[in-house]
Amino acid sequence: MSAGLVEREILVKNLDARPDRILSRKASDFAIPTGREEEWRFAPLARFGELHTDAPADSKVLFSARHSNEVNSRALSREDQTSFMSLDRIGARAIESWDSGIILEIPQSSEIAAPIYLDVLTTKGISFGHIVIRVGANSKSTVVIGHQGTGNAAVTVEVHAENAAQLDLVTLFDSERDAVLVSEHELNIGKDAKVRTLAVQLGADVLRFTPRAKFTQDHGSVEIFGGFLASGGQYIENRVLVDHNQPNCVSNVLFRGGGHGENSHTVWVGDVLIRENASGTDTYEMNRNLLLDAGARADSVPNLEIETGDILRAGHASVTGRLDDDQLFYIQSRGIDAATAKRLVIEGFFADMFGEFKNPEVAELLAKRLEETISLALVAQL
Amino acid sequence: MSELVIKGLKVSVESEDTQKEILRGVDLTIRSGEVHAIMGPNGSGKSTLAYAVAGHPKYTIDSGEITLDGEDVLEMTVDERARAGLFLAMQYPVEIPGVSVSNFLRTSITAIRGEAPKLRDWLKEMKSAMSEIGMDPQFSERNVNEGFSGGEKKRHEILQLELLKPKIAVLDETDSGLDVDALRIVSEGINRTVERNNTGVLLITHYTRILRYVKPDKVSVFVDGKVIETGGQELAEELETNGYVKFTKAAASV
Ligand SMILES: Nc1ncnc2c1ncn2[C@@H]1O[C@H](COP(=O)(O)OP(=O)(O)OP(=O)(O)O)[C@@H](O)[C@H]1O
Ligand SMILES: [Mg+2]
Repeated sequence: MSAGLVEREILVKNLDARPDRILSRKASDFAIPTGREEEWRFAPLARFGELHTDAPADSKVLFSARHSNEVNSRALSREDQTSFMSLDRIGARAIESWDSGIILEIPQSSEIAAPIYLDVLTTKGISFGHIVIRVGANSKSTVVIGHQGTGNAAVTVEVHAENAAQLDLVTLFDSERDAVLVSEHELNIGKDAKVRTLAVQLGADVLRFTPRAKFTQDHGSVEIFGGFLASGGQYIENRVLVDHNQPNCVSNVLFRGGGHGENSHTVWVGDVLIRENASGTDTYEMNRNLLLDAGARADSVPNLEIETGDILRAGHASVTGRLDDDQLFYIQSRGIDAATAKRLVIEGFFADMFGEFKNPEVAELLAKRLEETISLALVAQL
Repeated sequence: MSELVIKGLKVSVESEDTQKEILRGVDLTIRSGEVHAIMGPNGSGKSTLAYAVAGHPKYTIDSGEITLDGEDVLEMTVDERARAGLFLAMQYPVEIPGVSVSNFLRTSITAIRGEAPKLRDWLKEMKSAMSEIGMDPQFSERNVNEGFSGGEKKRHEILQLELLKPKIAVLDETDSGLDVDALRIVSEGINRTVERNNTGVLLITHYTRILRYVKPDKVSVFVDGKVIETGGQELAEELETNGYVKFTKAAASV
């Protein structure tokens, strides 16, 4: 804890579940949002470019995969089983009307050392795409989804981690600065399965990421980590929902965010729902934000809805602070110039976002992109 | 031979929209190889003096001057002062989450020396300095001051003093919170720096205990934002026995 941050740590025992929250595969189940709904109250809908209305797709999402031949990937077809359900109209539109997609199958009991890359390129216009990742029982793998390109796109992802599967799923959001990208993830976690996800969010003009985890059996574990850095004018929204619908499961959510420049706006909403049957639940969620200047705005809303008292742990915390003068002074008093001092503090702030994630190739890629983005942020401060 | 000269220094700090004057005309000179102890009651402005010399943005210089070998220190940024040869060991060293000691020290050394030390030489230098000050080498992988005990933070400050080899160092209550052994080890570090690098030291302290290990050439009494008397070690002994009463009275009557 640095001295400059004000910690607000809350442990909520009981909160009413929200009956208005529905899951569906049909866009018509959701009204066109107006901005007054809880789900949309922060979002600049005018900038979503009709993704949330009725406008049909007029463009296509392009998918490609790079991996060893131990795993299979192919274009998704309408014959393929998908079970994805969305929490909102845009996700429902994507699963209803995608016209391109990819399916990745990791065989059971396989151990895939090299990262599996799924590249997602969006182009000008409105487009919808869907990704299915089937992770076989007892397998071990790392998947990296890389988002690039422009236009207005919604890309949904469903992950099925079978029993005792171990998956590291990294998503790098690195679209052009004029892109609007909506991404909804549905993580289905099997018995004893361990899924760790890390979303690094740097690009796009408007980015909305809504990961949702649920458990197909007991003793599953999920980690949802994220890091974002918004610059002037950029809007980055994260809405996490962990649905503890099975007993003895573990979830850990950590998002670290930064913002700088006029009208940079980041939003983090973390919902954890602990159902009546989810005894033995262990969950913690945390969002920390670092505002680099007065132009940046961060909203952070952690939320716990607990329907059973028989749990191990349920906690959440949210901290938003500014660059600390005393930290910068201390570093500079050791001869280090002001820009480098800021860089050290900002990089240090993001350091533990990678958590246990250790794949050297991917970690280096992420660290490099993050460093480049921090450099741009520092230049903007001059 | 270096010389830090402070003349007529008046410093204030903004507090609830009013400027509060803390330093009321400080005159001090610290020379290479010299240990100058400063003793004074709580709140008299000793840390303010230390911060003003180092250039903390919170403090406003109202008048007076600070020069290092004739160069105007007040014109320099915080990092320029450090590169010019000034060092401050803080009373309350700051935690920097996510930044390892080794990364921090290497970045600092590179800035101070003007070039990055060779990695192998640097590791050797850091390890040997750490062992001299009694810090486990594992501290190099920990985040700067994060979770350090009070004493460990102070050792870490003296480690930096030894590595950065400043011309003039201001040590703000480096002895506070140290156990008997740590006090001796830290004092030896200060003495080594004075001997090896001919560093001049302004040693802010409340206790004569440290002055048994680090022999001061001069002792000054600091009351109400000013130096009001300067003498030798006997002055420190007198303060230890009689307290500041005589001096606070004197200050009040000025
Ligand atoms: N930011 C600030 N706002 C308000 N008052 C301040 C601020 N910084 C320092 N002061 C006040 O200035 C005075 C001098 O403080 P300083 O820390 O320099 O004292 P000190 O001599 O180092 O005391 P100690 O021996 O307790 O360390 C104190 O009354 C302190 O409360
Ligand atoms: Mg003090």
